[in-house]
Amino acid sequence: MNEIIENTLHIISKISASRQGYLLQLSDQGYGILNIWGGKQEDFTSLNDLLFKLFKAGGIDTEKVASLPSVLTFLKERFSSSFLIKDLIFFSERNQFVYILLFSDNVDEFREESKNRIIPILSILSHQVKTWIELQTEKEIIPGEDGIVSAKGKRLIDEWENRFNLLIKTSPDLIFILDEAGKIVLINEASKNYLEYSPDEMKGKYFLDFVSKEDTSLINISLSKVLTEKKPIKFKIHLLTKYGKIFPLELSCNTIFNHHKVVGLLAVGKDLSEKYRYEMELQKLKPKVTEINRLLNIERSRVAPQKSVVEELNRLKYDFISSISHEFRTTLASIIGFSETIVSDPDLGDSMKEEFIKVIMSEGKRLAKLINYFLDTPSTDDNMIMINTTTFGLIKLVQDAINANNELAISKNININFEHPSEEVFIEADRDSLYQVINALINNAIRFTDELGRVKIVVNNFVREVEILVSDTGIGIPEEDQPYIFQRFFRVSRRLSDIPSVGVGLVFVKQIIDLHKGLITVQSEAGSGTTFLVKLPKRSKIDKNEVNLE
Amino acid sequence: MSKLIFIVDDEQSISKLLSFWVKDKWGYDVEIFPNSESMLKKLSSRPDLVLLDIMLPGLDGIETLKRIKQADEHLPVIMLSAQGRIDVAVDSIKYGAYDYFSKPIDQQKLELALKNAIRNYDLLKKPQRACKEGI
Repeated sequence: MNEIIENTLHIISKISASRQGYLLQLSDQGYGILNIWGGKQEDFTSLNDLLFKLFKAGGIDTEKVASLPSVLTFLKERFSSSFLIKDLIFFSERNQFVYILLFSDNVDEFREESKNRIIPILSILSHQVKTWIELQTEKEIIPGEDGIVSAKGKRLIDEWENRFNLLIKTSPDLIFILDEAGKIVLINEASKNYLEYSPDEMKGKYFLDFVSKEDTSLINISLSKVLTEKKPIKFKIHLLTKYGKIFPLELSCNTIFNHHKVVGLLAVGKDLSEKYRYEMELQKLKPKVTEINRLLNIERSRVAPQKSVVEELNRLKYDFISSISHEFRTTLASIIGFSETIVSDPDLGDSMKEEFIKVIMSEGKRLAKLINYFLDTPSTDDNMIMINTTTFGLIKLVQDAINANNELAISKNININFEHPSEEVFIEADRDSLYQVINALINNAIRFTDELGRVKIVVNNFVREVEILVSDTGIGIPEEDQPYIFQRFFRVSRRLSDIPSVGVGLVFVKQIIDLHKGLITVQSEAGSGTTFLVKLPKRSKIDKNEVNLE
Repeated sequence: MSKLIFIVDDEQSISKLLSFWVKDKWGYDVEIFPNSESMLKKLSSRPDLVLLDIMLPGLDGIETLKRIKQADEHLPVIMLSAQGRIDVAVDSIKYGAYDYFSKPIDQQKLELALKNAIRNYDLLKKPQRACKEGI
């Protein structure tokens, strides 16, 4: 405001000093220079502008003033006559002011005649302008009852102003005020940290010039929203720094009112760069987390089957121990039972005694085999199992094995069917072990077959070899188990509890067949039965060293 | 009248031994079965005691025991096992077995158990029969 006053005074003094003149008409509808005498057009225009603004701001009804008969008459009189300056009309009505300056076109005359009058008139004008401005300013800040601010009020205003300045200065957030046109009126020191501009560099410039290109439409929409809705709003924008960097901000905006009119916009900008940085880091970490989770899942799914394998092995171990102890106890029960009977019963007949001793012997041999089989102890020369190759009839041997299992088959109502050549087939092999093989296969076939099932045994005679097939309609062996059935410790997992004493057989069977340089294969389907095929050379050449296997 | 004892065991040598003890030495009548199914069919011939192996092909010992008890809750059953497992022994007694022997079997103890079980069964049977005969 002081600036305006100074300017006014400066221009007035300039005009007066150069002895130029003009006629001014003022009203709130418009203003204009009616006539100019000499001097520079710009000087008058500037003065004219300033005065008009003052009038406008003051809300003076200049039309009325200008059209007052006294004024009109006065003006008419002055211009119709050829004299020079005549006066400055100073009009006042209801505290409203109208200034009309009139200078003579005759500079010399003006100088001579009005010199002494002009200066006081101008000083009156200056004084009036000054007073009016002061009144006007005070009125705007604290409208007192009569528009005058007390000394105390002034102190209060200063105090608040200081606080406001301090607040703006210390705030880490960017604070700025825009005028109606969107130019920066005020901005705090945070601009240095955020945008690398000093507040002075930014003042007076359009705020939009500092906004990143991509956000211009956003800011236009947001600002017009603030202005139309007249409510505070918040939005994110990117500003351009002095050195071309992009700086993210969260802007909170509110409008500034004066007499119910929007005169500007106050905005507070919060630094988002830190938040963005964290978000960026989070974004970077996200794939890592996904990766880790994936690895964790892979590891989990990898461990799961291992766990189940361990559990399965434990179960197999338990089954094995349980089965081994059962076999041992059963055999021992026979040996101890029969020998005790012999010892404790002196009246026992010789034939009975001999029979019992035979049982003890065969059970003892069985026990030795079991121990070798289970514990895999290397045999010595005086091995309990004597491999002794003889020539014998295979059909007879198979028939013996069938007979031995007949009772079991009958009890389960299982029909045994034996097909063989009409003539006896003689082979050279270890009869005892081969008998055990055939016996085990038949016994298994019956055990694993439900009541009313069928077991079929076929002997085929070829030129160099013989073939023995043992086929049943039993529970079968699941395909996945088939590769393992000849392995030690393996028992077909299904229906385990139903089938006692299994598992001793097939490894033993395989070993005996291998010893004879034969071949054993299995074909089976779970639920529909199993067929074992044994192929043996008619003349087995048993390597004595391999006997140690058993 | 001689007492009838059923022996159920799939091990032939064990059946043979038990049969010798029970029949030849202790003087009872004996019938041998290689599995439970065949034995259960003959329950109608009213045995006085059953010697029952636990691990049997087909129907196992515990299941057989339950079926025997369904048919005649007082008929004494002595369980024989080569497993030596406590839980099986406990199960046996729970389902009404008279006694439990693990293999190898002690001859004297078995003889005593057999004798006691049969006497017990006789005592339980008599009043029932007496009632039936109207005495």
